[in-house]
Amino acid sequence: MKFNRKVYILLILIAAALTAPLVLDSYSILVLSEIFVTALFALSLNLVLGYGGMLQFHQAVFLGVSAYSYSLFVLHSGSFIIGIVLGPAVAVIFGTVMGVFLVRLSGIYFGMLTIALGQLVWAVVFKWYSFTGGGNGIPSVPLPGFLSTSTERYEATLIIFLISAFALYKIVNSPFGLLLKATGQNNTRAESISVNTKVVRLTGIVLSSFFAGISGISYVIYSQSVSPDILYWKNSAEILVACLVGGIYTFAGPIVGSAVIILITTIASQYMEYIAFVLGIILLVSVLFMPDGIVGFIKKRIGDGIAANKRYQ
Amino acid sequence: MLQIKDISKSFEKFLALSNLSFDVPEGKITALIGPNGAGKSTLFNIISGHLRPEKGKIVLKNKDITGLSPHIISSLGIGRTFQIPSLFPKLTVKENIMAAYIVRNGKTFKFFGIDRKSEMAADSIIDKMNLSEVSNTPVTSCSYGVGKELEIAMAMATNPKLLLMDEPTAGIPKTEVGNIIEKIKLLCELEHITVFFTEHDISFVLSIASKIVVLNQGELIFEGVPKEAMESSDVKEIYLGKDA
Repeated sequence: MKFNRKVYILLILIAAALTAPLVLDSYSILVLSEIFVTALFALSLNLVLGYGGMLQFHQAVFLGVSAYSYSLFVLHSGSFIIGIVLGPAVAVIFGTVMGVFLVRLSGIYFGMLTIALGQLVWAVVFKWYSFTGGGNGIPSVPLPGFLSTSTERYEATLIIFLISAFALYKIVNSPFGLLLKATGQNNTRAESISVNTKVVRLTGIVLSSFFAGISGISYVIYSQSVSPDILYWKNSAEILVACLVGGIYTFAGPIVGSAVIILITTIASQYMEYIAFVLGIILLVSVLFMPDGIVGFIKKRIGDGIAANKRYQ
Repeated sequence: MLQIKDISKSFEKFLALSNLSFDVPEGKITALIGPNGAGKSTLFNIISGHLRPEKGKIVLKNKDITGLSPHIISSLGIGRTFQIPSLFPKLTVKENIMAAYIVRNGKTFKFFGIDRKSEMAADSIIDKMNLSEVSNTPVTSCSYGVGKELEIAMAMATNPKLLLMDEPTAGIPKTEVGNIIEKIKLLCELEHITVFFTEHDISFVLSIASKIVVLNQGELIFEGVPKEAMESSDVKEIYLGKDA
C-alpha cells in the first residue's frame, strides 16, 4: 500500500527529528532548528506563490513584525502567552492591510508593490530607534522558562513546524485550497465559475501572513534576538529561492529547498562573502535542469505520478 | 431573457461595437455570427463582465447587470465557455469541475476536509459527458477535444440559466462537430438553458439555432430566423459573399 509506505516514512522522519538531540551535538541541533524555522517560513510563502500564483516578495515582513511584536511586548509587559498570540495577530493585520491593495494587481505589478511595501516596513523598523532599537534590534529577547535549554528550544521549533505544516497541508487540500489553486492558475476562468477571486486571493495572503507570523515566533525561539535584517528583502528572496529550488508545485518542495539552502549556507559560511554567488548558482542549476524543483524532479524520475497529483491537487 | 441595449465599446480609436441592440429569447438557442473582428468576443466579454461598455445596458431578466463583477454575473446565472479552452491546467478534469461545484455549494471558505457533495456532483457530470477515463488526468495532459468538452461541463456545473458559448466547435474536427451539437442541444433541452453562442461555421448555425444575429464591424446587420438570414442581401454580402 502506497499510502502506508508514505506514512511510515513520515513517522520515521518525525521520530528521528524528535530524538535528534540525543545523538547530535548542540551546533547541529541549532542548524536543524534553523531549517525548521525556515521551512515553515517557506511553506507560508508557497501557499500564495505555488498554490495562489502570486509572486510575493515581502514575506519577511510578516515573520519580522511577528518576531518584533512578541519581543517588544514581552520586554515591556513580561506576558509570554499574550506575546505569542500577538505576534501572528500583528502579522495578520499587516497581511490584511497590504493584501487589500495587492489583490487589485497581478503579475509584475503585484511583485513590485510587495517589494515597495516590504522595504517600507523595514525602513520604519530600522529608523525608529526609540521603539525598535533601530539597527541594533533587540539583542536578547526573554523566552518562557520551559524554553531555557537548547534542546527545549529545538523541540519547540520542531513541534511548531509539524503542527503548522499539517494545518497548511490540510488547507492546501481543502475546498478553499482547490479554489486558491484554480484562481492562481486562471483568474478569468475562476471568475466565470463565480469565484470571488479577489476575496479568495486576499484570504490566501492573510493565511500566508498568519503562518509566516508563527514562523516569526519560531524564529525568536531559535535565535533569542531580533534585528531589522529579518525584515529585509534579502530574507524574502532567500526563501523564494528555497521554494523554487525545492519545487513550488509540491507540498514538500519548500521544506526540502529550505534544508538544502540552510545546509549549503552553513557549510559555506566561512566564505560568507560568496554566499549570494553560491545561492545564485544553485538557483541557476535548478531552474535550468529541474524546473519543477528538487521534489518535482525526483517525483518525475520515480514516475510516481499518482503521488504527484495527490500532493498537488 | 437577455437584452442588449444600445451597447457601444471602443479600444483606443477602434470602434468595436456601435449602438448594438437586440434580444436573446428565453429557452431558445440564439447564434451570433459575423466575420473576424465583427465584435463577437467583445460583446461576450461585456455580457460576462470582463469588459465595461462605454454606453448602453445589459439587462438579464429585467435586472440591469451592466458593469457588475464577472463573478457576480456568473452567480446570477450566466455561464460561459471560451473559444480556446480556458481551464485550470494543473488540476485534474474532476478538480476543474469540482471547483465550480464548490462555489455553487457555498463551500469556498471550507479550509479543512473535503466537500463530498461537490465530489459526487462532479462524478455524475463526468459520467454524463463520458469523461470518466480522464477524470484524474491533469488538464495539461488532456487532448484539445477533452478541453472543449470540459469547458461545457464546467459551465453546466455553475447551473446557468443562460449559457454563453464562444465558438464551441472551433478547432474540432468536422467529424466530431455533430457530436458536440447533439450534446449542446440535449443539455439545453434537459436543463432548460437558454444558449447564446458565436460561430463561424454557418451550417452548424443553421442546424441548431432558432434565432440568428449577424454583426459586421461592430454593427448589427441582421436579426431574425436562420432562413431569413440566408436570404438577406446584407448578410450574403458581408458573410456568405466571401465564399461566393
